[in-house]
Amino acid sequence: MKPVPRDLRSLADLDRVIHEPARLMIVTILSVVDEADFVFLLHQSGLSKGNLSAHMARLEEAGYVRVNKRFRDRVPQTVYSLTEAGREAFREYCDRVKRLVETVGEQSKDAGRGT
Amino acid sequence: MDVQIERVVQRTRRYWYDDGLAEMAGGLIFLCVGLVFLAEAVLGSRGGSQVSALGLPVVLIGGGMLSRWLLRVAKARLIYPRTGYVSYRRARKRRALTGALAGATAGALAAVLPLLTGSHDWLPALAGVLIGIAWAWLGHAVGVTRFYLLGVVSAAIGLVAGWTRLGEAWGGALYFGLQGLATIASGALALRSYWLRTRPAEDDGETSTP
Repeated sequence: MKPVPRDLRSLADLDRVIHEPARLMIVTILSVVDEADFVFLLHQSGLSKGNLSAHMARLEEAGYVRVNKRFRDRVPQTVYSLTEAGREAFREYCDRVKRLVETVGEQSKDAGRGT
Repeated sequence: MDVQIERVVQRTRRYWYDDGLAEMAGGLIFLCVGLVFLAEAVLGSRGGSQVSALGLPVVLIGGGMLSRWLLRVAKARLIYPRTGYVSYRRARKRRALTGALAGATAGALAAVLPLLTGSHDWLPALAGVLIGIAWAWLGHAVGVTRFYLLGVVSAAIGLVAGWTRLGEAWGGALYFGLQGLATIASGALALRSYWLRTRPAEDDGETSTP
C-alpha cells in the first residue's frame, strides 16, 4: 500500500472549527462584512436559531468571532464580526484547501497518464 | 451541507440589492441628471450650458451623498427589522481604483468632447451603452439577473435617443429621464417582491445568550 502523500496529509491539519460546513458558511459570510446581526446570519445561512446560536458560541469560544449586544430602536440586537484571528484562520483555511485541490488535481492527472 | 465559498460571498453581497432600494436611489440621481439636461435644453442660449456646468457636479456629488444617506435611513427602517442588519467591508483599494478609473474616464471625456467638431447627437448613445455595460458588469458581479435587463434597456434608450438626433441636451434629458424612471420602476418592483416574501423578525433570537 502506497503511503499517503505529505501534501494530502495536511487534510488532517485543517482547522476543524472552520471546516465544519455550517461554520464555514458563517465565517465566509462574516468575511465579506464588517459586522452583521443574528437575524441577517439566520436568513443568509438558513440554519435554525438554536443551531446558529450553538455555532456562534463555538466560533466565539475559538476567538474567531466578536459579539456585541446592543439596542437598536429599543430592540435588542446581537451583532457579530470576525476577529483578526478569525480572518487569518479563514485565509489560511482557504489557502490550504486550494493547495490540496491543486495537489489532488495534479495527482489524478499523473494517474491518468499512468505515471 | 455543500458550501461553495464563492456563491456564499456573492449571495452575501447580493443582499444589498435584494430589496431594490439601492436601485431606486440610483434611479433618482439619473432622473435629476435628466432634469439638468432638460433645463439646459429649455434655456438654450439663455444660460443653458451654465446650468448644466453647475448643475451636473451638484447633482452627482450632492445627490450621491443625499441618496446614500436616504438609503441608510430607509434600510434601517424597512429592511434590517425584516431580514437583518449588515455593514459591508469597504474594499478601500478597489474603491480607490474604481474612483480613479471613473475620474480618469470623465476627465478624458471632458477634455476630448470640446475638441470634437460637429454634432454631439451620439453622446446619449455612448452614455447608454457605457452605463449598460456597467449594469451588466454589476449584474455579473452580484448575480442579479434584472441588472442585465437594465443594461439592455439603458443601451436601447441611449441608442434611440442618439438615433432621433434631438441634440446633446434634449437627447441627454430623454436618455437620463427614461433611464431614471426605468431604474426606479425596477427598484420598486424588487421592493414589492421583497416585501411580499419577508416578514418582520419577531426578535433578535439571541437574547437568551449571556
